[in-house]
Amino acid sequence: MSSMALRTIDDEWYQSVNPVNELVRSSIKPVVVTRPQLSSPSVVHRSSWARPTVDRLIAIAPLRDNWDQRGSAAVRADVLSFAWQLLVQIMPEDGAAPVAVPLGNGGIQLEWSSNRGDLEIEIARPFEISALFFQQRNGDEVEIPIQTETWDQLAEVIRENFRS
Amino acid sequence: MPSAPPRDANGKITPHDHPEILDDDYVLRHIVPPHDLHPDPEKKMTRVSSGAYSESSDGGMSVDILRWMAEDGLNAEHYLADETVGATRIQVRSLRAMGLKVGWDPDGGHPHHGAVWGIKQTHRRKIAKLAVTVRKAEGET
Repeated sequence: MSSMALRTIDDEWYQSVNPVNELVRSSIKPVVVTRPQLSSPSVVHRSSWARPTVDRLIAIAPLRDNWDQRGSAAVRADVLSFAWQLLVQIMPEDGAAPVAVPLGNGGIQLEWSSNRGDLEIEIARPFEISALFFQQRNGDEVEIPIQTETWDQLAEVIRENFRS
Repeated sequence: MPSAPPRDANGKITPHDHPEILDDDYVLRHIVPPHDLHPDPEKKMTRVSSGAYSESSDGGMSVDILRWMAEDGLNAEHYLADETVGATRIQVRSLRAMGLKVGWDPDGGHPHHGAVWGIKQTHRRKIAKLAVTVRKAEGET
């Protein structure tokens, strides 16, 4: 078949499957781009915080409803999974391992403590987090809310205040 | 018998300030080890985490109403599950000053059971600092 004939067939095919009205009906949808990891899996495995953190998360995973006889809900598995994903993203290799405390609503609180202050990250549901940094300044404690729409500030607070 | 707590259409107790829980009263929070505790190797201590002062998913932070217990001849540690469980007491005035509600919740297990409603993350740290140890939890230093 001649090249002219092939081009004609291509053109006809293009016109038949891509009419202008198809393009008009197309719409733009946001594409979710996975946030790049700050710590690659190999770095996590070399870190000093990973093992004790996994141990702490595993320790609270089996807690069921009313585990404390105070009416607390069971610790949510999706919260634990999300907490790990969060930590992989924000922790430096030499970061201090957090303490994981179960909350009454089934969420958890990740906590760090140093002479510079305390950081508390509450995770109620996946992606439903809030964070407060209690900074020590000249003997007084100042409460600083940390924005959590992105995790950059969290990473910065940990990097500056909670390293092993 | 205290006045009945308010309930919704489903019979569930709603957040309230009970008039017979006075500002000068104290409520007792059970501290359950090890999960309520924060080990701090740098400061060489294990303290009560602020997370111990969170509300349950049903609503309200569970507490015991100490004066009512005393009036019925019960000591402060009466409802603690076992010897490993610790307890702290917080003055009702301090909680209400934060905008929290302190009410009666007899549905929560016993007639001296109360609840604190409205606790957000920022309140928990403040409550933890106001709380006075009545009995240390196992492992608490």
